[in-house]
Amino acid sequence: MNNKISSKELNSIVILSVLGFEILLLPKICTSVSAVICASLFSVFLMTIAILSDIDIYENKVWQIIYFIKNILVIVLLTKIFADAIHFVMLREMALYKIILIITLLCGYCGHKGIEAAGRVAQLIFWFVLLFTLYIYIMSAPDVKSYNIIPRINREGLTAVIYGFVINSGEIIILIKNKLASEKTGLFRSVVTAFVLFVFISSVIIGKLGTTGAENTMYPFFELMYTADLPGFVIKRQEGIFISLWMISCFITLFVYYYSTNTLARKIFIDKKYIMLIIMLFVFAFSFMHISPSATITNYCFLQIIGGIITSLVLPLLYIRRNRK
Amino acid sequence: MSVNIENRIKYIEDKFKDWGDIVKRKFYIGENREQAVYITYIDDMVDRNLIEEEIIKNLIINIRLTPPEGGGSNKYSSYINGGVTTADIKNVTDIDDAILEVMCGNTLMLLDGWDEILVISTKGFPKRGVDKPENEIAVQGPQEAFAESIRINTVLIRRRIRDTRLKCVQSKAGNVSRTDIALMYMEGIADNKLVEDIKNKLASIKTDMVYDSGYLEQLLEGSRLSPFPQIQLTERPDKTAAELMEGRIAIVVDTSPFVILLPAVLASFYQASEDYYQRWEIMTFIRIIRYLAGFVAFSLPGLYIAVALYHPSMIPTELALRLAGARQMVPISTVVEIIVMELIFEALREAGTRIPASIGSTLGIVGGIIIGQAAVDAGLVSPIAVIIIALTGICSFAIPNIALVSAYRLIKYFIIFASAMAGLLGYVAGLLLVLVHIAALDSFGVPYVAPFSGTNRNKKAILKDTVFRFPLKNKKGRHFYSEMESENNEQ
Repeated sequence: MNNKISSKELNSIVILSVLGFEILLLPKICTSVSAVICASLFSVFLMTIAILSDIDIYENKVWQIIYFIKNILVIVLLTKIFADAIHFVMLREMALYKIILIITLLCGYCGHKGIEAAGRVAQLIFWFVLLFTLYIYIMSAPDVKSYNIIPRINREGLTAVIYGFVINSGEIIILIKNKLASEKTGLFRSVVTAFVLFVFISSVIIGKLGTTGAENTMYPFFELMYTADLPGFVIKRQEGIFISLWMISCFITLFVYYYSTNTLARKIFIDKKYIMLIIMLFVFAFSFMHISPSATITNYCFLQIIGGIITSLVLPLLYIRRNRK
Repeated sequence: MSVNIENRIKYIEDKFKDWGDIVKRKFYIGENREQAVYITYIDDMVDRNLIEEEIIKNLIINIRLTPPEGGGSNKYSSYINGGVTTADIKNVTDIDDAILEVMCGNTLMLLDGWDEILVISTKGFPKRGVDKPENEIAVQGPQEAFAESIRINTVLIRRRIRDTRLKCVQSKAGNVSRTDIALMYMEGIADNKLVEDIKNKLASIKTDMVYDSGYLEQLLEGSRLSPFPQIQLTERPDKTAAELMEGRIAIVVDTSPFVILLPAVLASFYQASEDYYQRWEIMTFIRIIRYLAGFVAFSLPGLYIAVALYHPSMIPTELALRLAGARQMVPISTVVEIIVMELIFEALREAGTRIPASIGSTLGIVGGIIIGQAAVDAGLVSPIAVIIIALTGICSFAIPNIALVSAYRLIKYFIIFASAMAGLLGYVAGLLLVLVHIAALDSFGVPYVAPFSGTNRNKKAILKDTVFRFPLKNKKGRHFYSEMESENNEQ
């Protein structure tokens, strides 16, 4: 294991990350197609900065600490959001801590195995997840009400630009691009693919549920799957397939954060294998906090916007400027 | 060690003390019977006819009738050239090396006054001939399998590749067993770094005994805690030859009818030699079936438990009602029912392997049909559980490699437990954990999930000979095994 990934693996991670937490959160917080487009365009800008900047977060001690703190908070909140969603949609009888424990154990194991393993997994399942997800959304597209998806340029849409920080594909690129084994190739293509996918999927969800529907629903994404009817399937309700694909994408995002946090912790504190266990214990303890799912999402968005200004915008831009000089 | 023949004879006889099967003889040769000769070999490990006709008879009779030319310091080579009429001879200076050669089936010959020892290749121990393959059966194609003799096995490979680039480097493994092993590779096709790595690994093995290639397999594997085989064993010479041409390396172990193939990736365990002997359309279809069957073999019981226990609403209402009806009289939980049935199936499979073939079918009928039907009738298990277990079992037999099937058999229980703990979340998490595990595995520097992931090969090239089997005309260019060196250098 040399902890190096190929461009193809990085591209797969970037695209899969869009199909995980982003499609869970953005249709809920943006609630209109124009807002989604604005947020997505801004995320494309952030991803472009991430590709162009040569910031190496693992080299500078200050950057290490900043990204470590941000990462650990992101992991805690994403784990809580993930566990809340699974608890809400499929395992209501099960105690939340059990769900958190399973998520933490799996992600900790993958983070320990290195980014190469995560990259290979992403590349292996990429086409399977992408094609299946597209099929599901394309089959759901006829139910979209056209008046729900007409983009309108308004203040709400423009203010939604800031939600581009919640799309963490740009941050993922910053966390792992220094682990690329060869030249960056096809990354801009992935950025465009991620943008198209995101706008398409969010438009289907918002178009089907409507602005109010998406706003008032806890998880608009799950609402869509309850009503989806895929022809040719033995099983009548397809939420199991939806959730499985969505879970895989969420895990891929978490794998990257766990790997990055583990690497940073070993550079900042102590280069021992058990540091991952401490991270897992920390995440497990803090994910099990008694705050509502809505509050967790709000906190996560707040963290991503405030923290993202530094980690996804200012620091990478600084490096681009320094290089031009 | 003195070169005096008596000292050497004493040393050899001390070493072979209490060896009832050793044959030794001291006799005199030459015109005037002035030259003492001592030979020793192990009874029935040698070709007796060869020793008597080509060595002893020549030395005792023919040399006297027509004495060879030469004298002085050349007299020893004259005796050897005139008296030993076999091609495969060698001189050694260390007596312990010579004794080792005797234990390998060769004959040791000492000449009084000569400081070297002659080792004559006279191996002739009883061995099984070339038989039909028992595990890797092919309907079409060669019906030859490796035997227990290293020489038969290397010959079977050489018969298929008549090229000087096919190298065969011989060495020994095991401090006590001193088993002969042969490292075979195609020079210019196999990755040079890989060849050197394997040579070094073989040289560094510290073990007393190597009874079979399975021993070496376990000693060479990188991740010893993984249930997945990282080295492939085959009993087919045609498969070995084909793999050598793709840049893989073969290790032939004496006394084992299985040859080791390195490196091994997951996709290689789904391939059979027959895939290339039949038309590409049907073999592509069969390969897809194998991959699907492989997935079903380790994941179906887990999926059934996840759906039946946690998400019954996922399945159509009629089917859910039927399932519930079938399970109504079953006194044990779904998880216990599946695990018990799986264990019974494992016991049946194990019994089927050990019992004579003539009563194998009886066991299948009694175990599979009669007991299964009786258990369903008695309400001990539900019919759906029997179907799930039978499907899992059938699918596991569709995979052409037994080592991979064994790994899937173990992983199946892990997926069952994960699904029993957390339904679909546990099922997906279990599958992902297995995927992460195999994605992190390497076999001698080659990613285990290659060429699907971990290499920079383009997708089209990957599809040509993995899940699909494109027409042989399309099989151009080098295989990814032989390209790993350049890829590793890039990284």
